[in-house]
Amino acid sequence: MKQVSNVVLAVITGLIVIVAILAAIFANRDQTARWAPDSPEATVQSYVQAVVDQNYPAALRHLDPALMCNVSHFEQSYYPQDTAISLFEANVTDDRATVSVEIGSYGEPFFDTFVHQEQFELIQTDAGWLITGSPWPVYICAGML
Amino acid sequence: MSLTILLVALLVGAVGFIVVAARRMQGKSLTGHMFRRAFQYVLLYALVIVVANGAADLLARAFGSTPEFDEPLLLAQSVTAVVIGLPITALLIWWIVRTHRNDPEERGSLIYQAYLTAAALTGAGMTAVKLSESLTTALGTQIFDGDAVGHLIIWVIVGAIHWRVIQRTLAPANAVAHLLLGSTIGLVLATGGLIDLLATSLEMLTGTQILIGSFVPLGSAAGLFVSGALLWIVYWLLSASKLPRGSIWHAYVLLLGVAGGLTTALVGAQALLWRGLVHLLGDPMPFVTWFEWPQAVAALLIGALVWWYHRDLLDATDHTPLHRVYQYLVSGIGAIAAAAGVGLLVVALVDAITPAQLYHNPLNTLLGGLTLIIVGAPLWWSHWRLAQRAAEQHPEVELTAVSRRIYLIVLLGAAAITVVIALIAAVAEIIADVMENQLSLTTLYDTRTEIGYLTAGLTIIAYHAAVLRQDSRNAPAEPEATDTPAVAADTGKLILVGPMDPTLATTLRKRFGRPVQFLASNTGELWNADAVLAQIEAHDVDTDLLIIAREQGLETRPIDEVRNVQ
Repeated sequence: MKQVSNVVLAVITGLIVIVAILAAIFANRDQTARWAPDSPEATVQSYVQAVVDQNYPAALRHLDPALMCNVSHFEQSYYPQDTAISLFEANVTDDRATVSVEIGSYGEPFFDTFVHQEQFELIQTDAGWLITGSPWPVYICAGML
Repeated sequence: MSLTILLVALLVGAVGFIVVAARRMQGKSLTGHMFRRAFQYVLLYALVIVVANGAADLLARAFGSTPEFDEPLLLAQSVTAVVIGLPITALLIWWIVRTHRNDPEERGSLIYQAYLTAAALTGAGMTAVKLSESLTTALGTQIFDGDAVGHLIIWVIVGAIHWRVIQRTLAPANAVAHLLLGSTIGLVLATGGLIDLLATSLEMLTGTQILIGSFVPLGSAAGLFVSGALLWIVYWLLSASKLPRGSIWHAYVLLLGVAGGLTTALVGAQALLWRGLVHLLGDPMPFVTWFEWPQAVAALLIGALVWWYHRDLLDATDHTPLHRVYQYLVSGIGAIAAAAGVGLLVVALVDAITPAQLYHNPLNTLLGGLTLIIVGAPLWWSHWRLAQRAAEQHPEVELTAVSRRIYLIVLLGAAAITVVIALIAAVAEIIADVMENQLSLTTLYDTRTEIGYLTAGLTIIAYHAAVLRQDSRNAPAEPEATDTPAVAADTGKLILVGPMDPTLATTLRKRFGRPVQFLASNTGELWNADAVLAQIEAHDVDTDLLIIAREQGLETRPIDEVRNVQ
């Protein structure tokens, strides 16, 4: 009887692992760009990718120059090495847009793992969509305006 | 953060140590040996932690990883920990080994057992944490995390050495706490990891639009699950599950496995039902998305799995003390959930009649209360009904059962404390508003949570106080025959050597119809009714049996065999 419960436990755990592998395959195939390159979502995606890759000059190209952000602002900012960002919702009104994202930070089990929402405000310029307001993770730039 | 967890665990461990030490010290006085032991083992534990951290930091640097806020002092501390700390630790260990050779009894001392347990569990816990971190980074971002791997290697060594020392030097009975606490860490991590893994997979498969870090959440969940599962397999599946089923073993299975699994499943079921009803009937707009449906589904499935697995470990025989404990435990969880639902209904009522409804839609709160009742009440009733039926059929057994008394007293006590705290908080709010001349319907709104707690607590008190009074009225007088039972037949006699347990005696008489006799003995262990029943059933009906409750488990011998040995 006790052997049966161990087998059932192993089978259900195995099924969950298979679902996880399917999800990983699904995510891997879904890497292709989902948004038009000149959309607010694509701008935010390029920006956060550059931040996480620590390619700060590339990240700066997506920020509104009026924010006066520079590389040292990024170097002073903090975000965990293991970060995942997903789109929550996007609203576009004429030349302004708001893109809400969920930022998940992963570290030690349970306590260092947390998910929170951030909002990016964007304006449309001749150079395309640029992030303005008080963007993650360089809130300090907005504070200096 | 691991340091914080370690400190909390040590604090809890220290409380447990004091409780056990106080029990063992009854009637004894403190000696110089005890102080010497306490000092040397606390020092050894501190040295092991310092040396392990220093060595892990150096190894991480060798793997090319430096701490986030590195400075020369950190490197100097790590070098010192290894260069100075390691030889001192080795010297202390050599001295302890010599002491053990001269005084073998020290191996049975509580402080030595506590040291080994704490050091082995620290090693095991840190191994799980660092393995989880390594896997999160490796699977999530395909990067080698030198810091986590460096720490992982050192903590595996610390854990493995202490595991080996425990096996070689501790009596099996003294290693039970270590195995069950290790199983606890493994079960919590593995369950949390499996819930995360399923929830994250469901989110990814149902179209979460990931901008960056597609594999990070999945890697984190997989890391947590793998580290917890490895610990659980080593500690539980290969070790603790095969231990004699004593009271601590059953406490682990019932409190962690049964109650923990059931509570997780109930939280998942309630959240799922609530979210569904809010989307159908309520107002989903202000609904806080702290618990998305994939998490709810995962919590429900995995919680139910944990519950089922541990329930299956228990003996399924009805009307045994153990079955009774299970019945009251599940009943209590259901009763608390249902009472919380009643409290939430009152909160919804207050929400509806007070003006401040900007952020709280009363319909959502109402649905929350209803779902708690829907989930909790059937669970409570299905188990409580059986207990009440048993109380009607066998009042002499059921109404005097320790588990029933504990169930009623714990529920009443917890509810009374809740009521008192809620009352104090509510009255303080009201007095503050009176003093500021602001007493209005808003005051009622501000005290709605306290009113909810008050209602839930009073609901539990009202019903269970009535049951307790009824039990006291209907309970039979203490059976006089339990101490010296009348022997009805000459064959099939059951002689139990251990602590007096009238409930067990009654159960055995009713179940087997055989004469039962107790020989009181302070063997330090409570009776495990399941194991006693299994032992009796494993022998012929006509065989006189001598059953002894020992610390490491039951010893059962046919009385003829004992006579022959003599």
